Amino acid sequence: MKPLDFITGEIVGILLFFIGLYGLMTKKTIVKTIMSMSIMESGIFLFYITINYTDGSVPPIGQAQEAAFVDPVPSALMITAIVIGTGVTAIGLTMFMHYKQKHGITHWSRNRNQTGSEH
Amino acid sequence: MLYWLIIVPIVIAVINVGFIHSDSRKLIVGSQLGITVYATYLFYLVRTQGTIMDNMGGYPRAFSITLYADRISIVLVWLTTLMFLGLLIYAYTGDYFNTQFGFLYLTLQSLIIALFLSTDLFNIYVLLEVSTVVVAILIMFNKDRQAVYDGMIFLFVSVISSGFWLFGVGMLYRTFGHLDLHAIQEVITEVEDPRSLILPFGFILTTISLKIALFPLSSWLPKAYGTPSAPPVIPAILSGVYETTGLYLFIRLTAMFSEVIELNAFFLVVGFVTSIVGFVLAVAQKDLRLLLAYSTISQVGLMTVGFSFGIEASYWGSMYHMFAHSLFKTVLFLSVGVLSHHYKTRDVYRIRGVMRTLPVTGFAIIFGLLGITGAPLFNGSISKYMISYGSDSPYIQVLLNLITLGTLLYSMKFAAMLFGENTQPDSVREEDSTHDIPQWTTFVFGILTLLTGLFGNTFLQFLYGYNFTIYPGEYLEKSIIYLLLVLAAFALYRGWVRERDLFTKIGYVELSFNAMITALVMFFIGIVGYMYWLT
Repeated sequence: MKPLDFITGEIVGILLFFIGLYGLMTKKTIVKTIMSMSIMESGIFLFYITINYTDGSVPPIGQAQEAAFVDPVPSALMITAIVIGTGVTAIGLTMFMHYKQKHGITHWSRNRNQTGSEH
Repeated sequence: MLYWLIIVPIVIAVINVGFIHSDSRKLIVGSQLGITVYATYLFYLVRTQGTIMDNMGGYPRAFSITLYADRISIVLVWLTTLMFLGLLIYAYTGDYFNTQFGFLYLTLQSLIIALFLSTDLFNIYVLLEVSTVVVAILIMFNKDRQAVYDGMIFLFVSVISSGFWLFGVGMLYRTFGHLDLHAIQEVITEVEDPRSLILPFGFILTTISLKIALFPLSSWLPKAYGTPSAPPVIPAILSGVYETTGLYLFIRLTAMFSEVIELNAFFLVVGFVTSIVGFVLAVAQKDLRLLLAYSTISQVGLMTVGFSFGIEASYWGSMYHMFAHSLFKTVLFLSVGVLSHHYKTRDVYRIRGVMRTLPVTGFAIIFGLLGITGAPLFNGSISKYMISYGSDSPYIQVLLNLITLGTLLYSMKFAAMLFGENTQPDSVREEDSTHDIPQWTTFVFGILTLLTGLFGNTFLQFLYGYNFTIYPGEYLEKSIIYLLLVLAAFALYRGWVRERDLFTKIGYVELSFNAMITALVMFFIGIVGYMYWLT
């Protein structure tokens, strides 16, 4: 076993997920929240497209049938998830821009009565 | 044929966009009538012929995307169409009812129906995500400062929790090679090591717990429901229909995993804590919408408790409570809409004399409050009676009565508005409001609350095919306990709760965005740890 063998897509995916989560728990800037969310989602995408992969398997179309096929479903699912993720990020950024331009607020506030702080 | 219920609202929503410069309200109401009739027909089919399944694309089951309608889901679909129709009639005269609103409204309906019918875990993820976006836009419909902030919090918290769901589903797919809920349920017992299911289950349950707002994941809910500028039908939809999607997923997913990991005890405790925290915070609010939002949290806790006893009567009791809750919570949210229109405020201490000024709404409120507190003859009493069958333990019974007492406490606060001197501002005092569509719609929902209670047994049989005998002696005993609790609540309210600083302070306790995410992670770690300890 090579020393770097344990760095598989699944492990990196899980790590990215929790790095994103850490950012969400600690960062008070709204833009950083959106960035952390994207990192978290990337972790999930990476996890999906590497699950159930065995060495030497071939794509499921246009190949002779000697080798094992790769499961195409996770990749198909992730195309959908990436599109949704992009959409949600876009909406999040739109809301944030509207909020910042109109009310000049960039941070999450402590409670409802404060509703956003300006530093 | 189930897919028509999902496609038609979307198609009408798109056609409605073409009416951007003219009035599309008739088209929308007409389509809603059609959908309701069709849903009724499907309900009839499921009642007479059993479960309907639609396999998309002609592939065999478990390989295709399946739409699945059994008694539980078709009742919820039917309820959804009825509620959407009713709320549409309420909104008909509202100034917020434009093309954009119609588009979002119909899209949301389609998404919610699809959530009830879909059995494909990935599809459910997509539906959760898209419905989150639609709801967030509806919350910030008027784009004021508070609304945008609340909408952002709702959007981000929900999207992050859906990420948990997606991760869990990925792990399940790696283990089973299936995405279909029922297909996984069939093979789940063949897993050699139940511990391998802990992580996916933990991820998925964290999402659902946030969706149904169990403590400590409930902080987003008052923000989303209590946004001051959102049109009054929005919180009604959220509390009456959208909330049930989470509970529905909770039922399905815990059933799926129950063969391997049994979490009833955990959710029993969480349910009770949620319910108690919910009513304490509800009593502390003075904004009517926030009061009702916290009350939703409290009621959801009660339903979770009913589902977690593992006893048939209490399970169906919770199911009926879900139905009843949709009705009475809609009545209350809609009457808050009427009140804030006629009094220009939502402060519970500044509205008085509703019975005299708006008698129709006044009666609707009375029906709604009697329903939510579980007064004899109302729907809440039947479901609470059945839930109390879950356990013989005196502690559990005391806790259930405590929840009723809490419900009565905030209902007293609500009911205080009905009496006293009229406090309407002079500008709106002269308006003639007896032929007001919103008021009468609210009233009709109120009557439904009464009817589903008077004929509780018949409805239970009719909807779910579950036979339950109510013993008059026991029912009378419960009614007497209820009356005693009313007296206790009245005394408590007059003597202690009213004008007490402590409660005003509690009312402001809430989590910031980062704290909400931390709570989410803590809940996840907690539930995973508990499952490791269990297996």
